Amino acid sequence: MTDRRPRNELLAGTMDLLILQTLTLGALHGYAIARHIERRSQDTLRVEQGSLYPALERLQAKGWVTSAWAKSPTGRRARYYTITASGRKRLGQKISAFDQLALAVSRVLGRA
Amino acid sequence: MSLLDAIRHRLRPLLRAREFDRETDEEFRHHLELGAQEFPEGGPRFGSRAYYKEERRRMTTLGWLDVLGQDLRYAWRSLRRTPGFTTVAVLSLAIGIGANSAIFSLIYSILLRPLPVSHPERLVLVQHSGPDLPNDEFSYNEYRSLGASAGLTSLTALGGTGHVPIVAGPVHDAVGVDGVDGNFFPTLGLAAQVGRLIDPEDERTRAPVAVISDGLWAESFHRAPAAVGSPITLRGAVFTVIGVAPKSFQGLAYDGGFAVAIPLGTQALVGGTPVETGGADSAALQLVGRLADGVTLAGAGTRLDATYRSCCAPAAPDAGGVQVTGIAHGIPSWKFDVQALFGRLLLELLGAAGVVLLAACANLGTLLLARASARERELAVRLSLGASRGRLAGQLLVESGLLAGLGAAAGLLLAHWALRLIAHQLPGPVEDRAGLAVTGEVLLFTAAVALLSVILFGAVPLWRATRTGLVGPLNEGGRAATARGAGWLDRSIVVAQIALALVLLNGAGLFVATLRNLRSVSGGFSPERHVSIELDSRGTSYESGGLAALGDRLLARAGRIQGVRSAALSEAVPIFGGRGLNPVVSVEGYTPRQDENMQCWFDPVTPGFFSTVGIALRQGRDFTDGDRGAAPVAIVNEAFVRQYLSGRNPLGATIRTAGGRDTSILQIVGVVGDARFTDLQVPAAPMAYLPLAQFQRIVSGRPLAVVTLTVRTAGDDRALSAALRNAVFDEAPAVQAYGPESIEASIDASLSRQTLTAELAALFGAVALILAAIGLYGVVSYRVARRTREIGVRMALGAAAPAVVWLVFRQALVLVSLGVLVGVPLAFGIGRMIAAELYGLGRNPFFLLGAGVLLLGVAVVASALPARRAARVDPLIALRAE
Repeated sequence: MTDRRPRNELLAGTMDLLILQTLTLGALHGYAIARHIERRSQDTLRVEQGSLYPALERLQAKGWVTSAWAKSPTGRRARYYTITASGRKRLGQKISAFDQLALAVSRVLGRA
Repeated sequence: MSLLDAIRHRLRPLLRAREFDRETDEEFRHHLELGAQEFPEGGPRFGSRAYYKEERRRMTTLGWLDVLGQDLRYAWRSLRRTPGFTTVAVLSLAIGIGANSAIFSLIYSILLRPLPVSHPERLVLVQHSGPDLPNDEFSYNEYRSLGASAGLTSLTALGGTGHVPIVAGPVHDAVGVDGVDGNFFPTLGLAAQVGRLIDPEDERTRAPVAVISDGLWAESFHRAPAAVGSPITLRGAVFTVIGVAPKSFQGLAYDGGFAVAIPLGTQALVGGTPVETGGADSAALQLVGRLADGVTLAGAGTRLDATYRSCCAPAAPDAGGVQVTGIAHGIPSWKFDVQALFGRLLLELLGAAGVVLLAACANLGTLLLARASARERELAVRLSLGASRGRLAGQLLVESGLLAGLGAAAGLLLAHWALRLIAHQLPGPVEDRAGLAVTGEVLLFTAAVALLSVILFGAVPLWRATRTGLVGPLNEGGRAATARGAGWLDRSIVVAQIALALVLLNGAGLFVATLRNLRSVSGGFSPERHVSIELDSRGTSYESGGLAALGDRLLARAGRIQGVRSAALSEAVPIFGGRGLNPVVSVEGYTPRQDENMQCWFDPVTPGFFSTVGIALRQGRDFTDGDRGAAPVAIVNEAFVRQYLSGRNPLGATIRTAGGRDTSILQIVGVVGDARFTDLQVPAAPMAYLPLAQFQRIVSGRPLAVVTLTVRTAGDDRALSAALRNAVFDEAPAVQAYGPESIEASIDASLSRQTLTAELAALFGAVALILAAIGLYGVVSYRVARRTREIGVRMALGAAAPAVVWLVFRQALVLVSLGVLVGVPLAFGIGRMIAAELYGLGRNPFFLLGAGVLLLGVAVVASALPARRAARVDPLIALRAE
């Protein structure tokens, strides 16, 4: 069954943004990406596998991220994700779009 | 660069599915392990792996293609869960599709397949036009004159030699040899598979070279390339093999038979007519041309006709010109008109196959109906979980498509098998054509039929799926009321199938009985132990002088062959063929009615003919050698006596004929039994025999040009056939010989159509029976499943198992009885329509009765399983399911 579950575009977009931003640190495997986001958000954001990996797929399909298998420090094989040039360009656009959105939301809430 | 990456990324799961899945699993495991290390106490970190995979797939592949693959897998799983249903469904479809494919193969190979040459639709044959029968023989001079005609890109000539003794490697046989002009193969656009073909240079130099067929190459040289350059001997003359014709090329004649081609100018070496002697003697060429671009058949005919009339036609105003006819399927054989013999039968059979397919689809419809209602809850659950109706419908369609695909594959196997059964019943030349059965065209046809069947039966579950309500099935414990509307539909389908099966079984019985009657019919001659060979002297030096002297030599020689009991010559032999003559007669003492046709058929025979062929002498005497120079005599058959001499002593009565040089009076010296000459189905007409030696003198006025030698054998026909053929080759090398053929083979050939009809009718009858049984089973078991609760209640209230079983059987019996009621008048109607094809049956209700009883038996068998299921219903379980 491949029912198309309704997706929250804002959330999906935000997940993309967070992943791309995380990957500017360097090549990381999926777990490291998830943990990085969780730590930086002080565990406010939880990254489930069920949304992380599909998001990584999406980003790869768009050509913003590439991946390659490599040995991890523990000696296991792991898939490392890297941001591409077009991914970086996209990241810039996404950050400014997010800033606008955040500002707009704050304004509505009377905080800014 | 990144675009390319992106595309590659999207295609990966499709192209390397297993690796893709493995990596996905590995990545997932890695993630979980790292999580477990960091948080040994565990946490709410579960994600759905299946969902993830699904999502990855959806994201990475070409949407619908992947969805289709997934639906196929799903359909396959769900079909495997119900092996009984799947087997029955695929079998039904295989039978329906297989029947169509088999009949289409026959139709294609017999009626539709074009000659394997380049652009066969542009090939034409030149024929004389005029009051006579179609005649396509031209002299060499006419060929040369017509060659200059406009409208054709080329015109080529093909001569024939009849059967010629050949020695090629280990092969000692007799084959037809074609003399072909140098541009023959280029005109057809053929190329040799080994070596080269005859070209204009060979014709110019009259080189003794030969092109052999693929079959001869295999037989004589085991397909060795070294065959090129090897010598073969044709009627004693040595020819060098220069090449092998393409495997598919069987000659231009419809019925094939191509073996050896030699340059036209050399055909005199093997007993053919010398081409350039001019005059009427060389009249033996068939002219084949290729239409120029933009020229129609009629246009080319008009231009050729103009050329012919200016160069070659006699000045008489009513003398014929020429016309052309298309030969895309080959040059029709004058002896064997397949189109007329099989065309209608095959189209009728395709109609029957179509009906069978409809029945199979109807079956599948009822089966799927039953399945759909069993799956109603599943569908409802999926709908309520958010599956879209379109998506469900698509999936059901894929399931139907998968069934059709499996059915088509199995059907092709069935068709292949059925064709092998059928092909050997076809007359030789047709069998050869039908041998190359399952071709690309047949596959295409099968695919189309499968698609059609998906549309036909796939509509049922679709219709159901789109009507499935959410609340009903879930609420009512699975016994939805929706099936009620469809109840009449599936039952009437079954009734129609029973009726159809009754009609087909009755037809099968009638045709099989007809064949049996025909085989056992006494043709008035002995049906075994004699072998005939026809000698045709037309176009040879014998023609003007007649075959009389040769005949005497042949009779003497045949009598010396080991195993020959007696030998005789005649113009015609029962069933084997021959022509005889048809003069108008008057019989002493008989007054014809107004306008009565007084033509009587005569067969000239030598003494001993009757005992050789096994025709009984009833009265008087046989002809003797003493009749040769004596007064004209005749022997008549019993039908003649009944018709013209009833109540009188036939011996001594006289017949006057108006044929011959002058009126002759023949005295009847004997009476023989009636023998059926042309058709075993048709009772013998009045006929007479006269001594062969008196033939030219008395009735005909023409010399005897075609004669048949028949010998009665003591044992092994085959060894004797070879000896007989050698004797004919030795004594009369130039004469064309047809045969030898045993009378049994002649009878088989004459019954080929009836045999084919009977076999196919039996096949269709069996198919209809099986389909009806399946349909009945489907409906009855569906009903039982529907009524489980009711049966449970009945049993709870004290109904015994036998009563429940009877409940089920009664249903099946009612359906069959209804079907029989509908079928009987239909069967009578069809019986009347095919009455002309039947023999010796009259109004015979036996087959109808038999078919009815058979169907009742089928009803019992088909409902046995559902009845058992019903008897085992546990009232507790049935009621608890509420």
